[in-house]
Amino acid sequence: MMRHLLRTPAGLIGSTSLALLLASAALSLVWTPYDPLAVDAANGWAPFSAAHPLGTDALGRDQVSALLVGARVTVAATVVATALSAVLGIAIAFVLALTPPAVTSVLQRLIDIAVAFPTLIVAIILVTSFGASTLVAAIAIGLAASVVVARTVAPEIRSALSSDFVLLAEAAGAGAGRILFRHVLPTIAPTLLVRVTQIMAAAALAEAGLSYLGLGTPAPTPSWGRSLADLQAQIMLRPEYLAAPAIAIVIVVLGLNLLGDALRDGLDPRAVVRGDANRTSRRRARAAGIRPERSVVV
Amino acid sequence: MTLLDVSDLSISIGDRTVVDRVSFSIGPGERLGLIGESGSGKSLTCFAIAGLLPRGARVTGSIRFEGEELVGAGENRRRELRGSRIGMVFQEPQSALDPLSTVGRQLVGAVRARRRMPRGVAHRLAVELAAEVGLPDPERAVRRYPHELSGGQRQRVVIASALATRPGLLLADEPTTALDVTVQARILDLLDQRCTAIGNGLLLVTHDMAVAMRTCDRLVVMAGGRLVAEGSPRSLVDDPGHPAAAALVDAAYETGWQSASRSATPTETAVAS
Amino acid sequence: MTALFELDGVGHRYHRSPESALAEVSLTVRAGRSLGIVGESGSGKTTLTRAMLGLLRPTAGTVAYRDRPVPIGRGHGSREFRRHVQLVLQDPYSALNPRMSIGDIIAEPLRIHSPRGNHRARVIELLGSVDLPPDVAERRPHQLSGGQRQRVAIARALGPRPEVVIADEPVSALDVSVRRQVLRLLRRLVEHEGLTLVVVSHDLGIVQRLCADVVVMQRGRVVESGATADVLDLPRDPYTRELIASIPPLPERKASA
Repeated sequence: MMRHLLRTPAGLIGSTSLALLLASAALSLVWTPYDPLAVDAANGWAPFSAAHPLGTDALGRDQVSALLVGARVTVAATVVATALSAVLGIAIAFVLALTPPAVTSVLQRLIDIAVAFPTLIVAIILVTSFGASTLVAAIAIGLAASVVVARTVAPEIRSALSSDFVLLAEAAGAGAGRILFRHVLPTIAPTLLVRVTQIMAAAALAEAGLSYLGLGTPAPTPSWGRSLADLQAQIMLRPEYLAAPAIAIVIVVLGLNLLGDALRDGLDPRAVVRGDANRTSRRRARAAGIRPERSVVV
Repeated sequence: MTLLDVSDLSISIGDRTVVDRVSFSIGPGERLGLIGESGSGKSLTCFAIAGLLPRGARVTGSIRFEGEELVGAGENRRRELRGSRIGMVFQEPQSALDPLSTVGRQLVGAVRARRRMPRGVAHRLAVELAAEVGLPDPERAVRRYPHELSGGQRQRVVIASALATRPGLLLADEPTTALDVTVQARILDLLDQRCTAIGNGLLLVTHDMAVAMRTCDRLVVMAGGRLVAEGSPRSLVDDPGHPAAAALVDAAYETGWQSASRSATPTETAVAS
Repeated sequence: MTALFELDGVGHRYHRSPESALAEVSLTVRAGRSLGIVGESGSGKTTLTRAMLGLLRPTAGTVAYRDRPVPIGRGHGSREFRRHVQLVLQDPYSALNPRMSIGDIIAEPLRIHSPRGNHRARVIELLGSVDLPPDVAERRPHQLSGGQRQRVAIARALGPRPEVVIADEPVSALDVSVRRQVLRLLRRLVEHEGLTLVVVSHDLGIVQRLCADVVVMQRGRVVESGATADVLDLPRDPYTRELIASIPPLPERKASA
């Protein structure tokens, strides 16, 4: 599957940008050209040069280092937010899938309302209570995204639970754990994976946005979003300094989105060909005289 | 003049030949059973006659219907014929009927497409057609929607609308496979009766040899895209000829119902106990 | 002969449904005498199999296996029970988890009952008993044909050496030549391995060849029951007669089968 991924332009670009992001973050843990927090007031707004390829900010802090360390923040926030949304989302989806029909419609409506709730409001609420930080921002994003995951995944769980192979596993005496981990999760994994990549893209963007608004990573920790906020005043005089964090954000978000698209395209048709298609279409295919495996034919 | 004359028909999709030089003919009022397993190409052959092959399918050979060559005829002509001279019944009644349109409207749809008909006349025609296929309470039935009918009743509607224009040829692809056994028997009886009344020819495509033998005067067997046997039910059973046909006949007998008067069934069940 | 399954007055009505899916069904499955449950759609045969397997709790009546009530769901004693009674379903395409290897699929019931064992040898043995070569264990369901998948489903059911296998329309979705192979396999298992089959089917031909006893169901009730030969040769109930009359007959054959 990985090889197929790299064959499409979207997959290639997406994987590359993700790799760049991770590499920058990893690199920043062991080495940066300069200490990003080191203040060098005399060297403020240094032009782009060999010593400082991306210049320095008002306080003389090297921008290349800031970019690298900012990557760390982006990775951390994205990972935490995505992980939270996935775990919480699956849990909510299970509850949704297992409740009796009467309760389900009420829960559905509640979830719809939660989905409509802007991440921003959640973030403001949390920040007011706990103060601004990368973690708080990540948690806010994770909470908001978890209901989206739940809504996508719940019907898949329901259909997996009513599939024949789960019924057979139950009839063979399988416990809930085995059914969950051996049957349901692997079945919903493709959809989940695609969703998760989309959420990663959204989370990266959301973290940048929240930091920009001052609700995320606080000074002095470098963050791409907050850099934009700090540098905003300079946009008329020194626009070039905004380029680096802005482009970085665009590359990461766009790349993750493309990766999600490539994953979705890579996984879906194969799923149909493998025979995950529903029974009716298979019966029809059989009746029309065609093996479902080669369902390209009528 | 033969009603339908299929000659050296070959169909390929991509680089696979799925139907390989198939030839058979149907005379006016004659019933031909086309038997085969899945992948034999029987349904594609039927679709080719109807002009409903998927895009990308290449057809060579000849299909002459009422003297007219269909291979290469334009899509417009094929559609004209489908709505008037060639009727079709497929396997799944629920997907053949429009869920948003009443039974009555669908019964006369093809007829009204061809000639102007005031509403009152159309309604009476719909009721007549519904009665012809044995729908209970035809006046009420034509006002119903497909989902309000049972599977068997829906298939009756499909048959009625296919025969509404009194076509010369009816194509039926697995018309009873999705139905219960008792319903199947009644639908086959209906097909029998209506085809006799109207005098149309019938091409019945099915994997079930017993169904084909019950309804048709003549049979052809397809396997692997090729036509491997042809003949009356009797001749096919006594001397299938081709090994693929023989295998199908043997399998049908080995797995099919045997009325006790003719077989070793009691012994078999005794052993099983 | 030991009674394995004993159903007494079993009835079931699904939540919020005005009609009963099952009503007053009583039947017995005896060891060594396979039972056919014949019915069309709406006869309640699927509900009946779920009740027999303890996958639903019937709203009326009792279902007993070897004189003990069948455990519902994961209740007390269910693991033992589920070792003795296995299930094979109609659709070979949805019965196997597309993401598992054939070997894992067959081994699953074995692993449920002894999680720590190495089941590889047994899996190959099972594949052999359904006439499939050992290398099939490495493959995935989508690489097999419908007939092969159904045989895998049967191999899986045989793994825990069950006393009873309930087969719900085991051959209906198969082409006739494949149907013949699977039918021969099932007959061999019944005749030589001492397996007791419960075959649920609308297909009287299959039931005739596999089952010593038969029960005919219509709209949730048993309308006729008895030894297969008796019921099918001399049907008393009008519905049974209608079923038999509905089957299109094959012409008589001179050569023997």
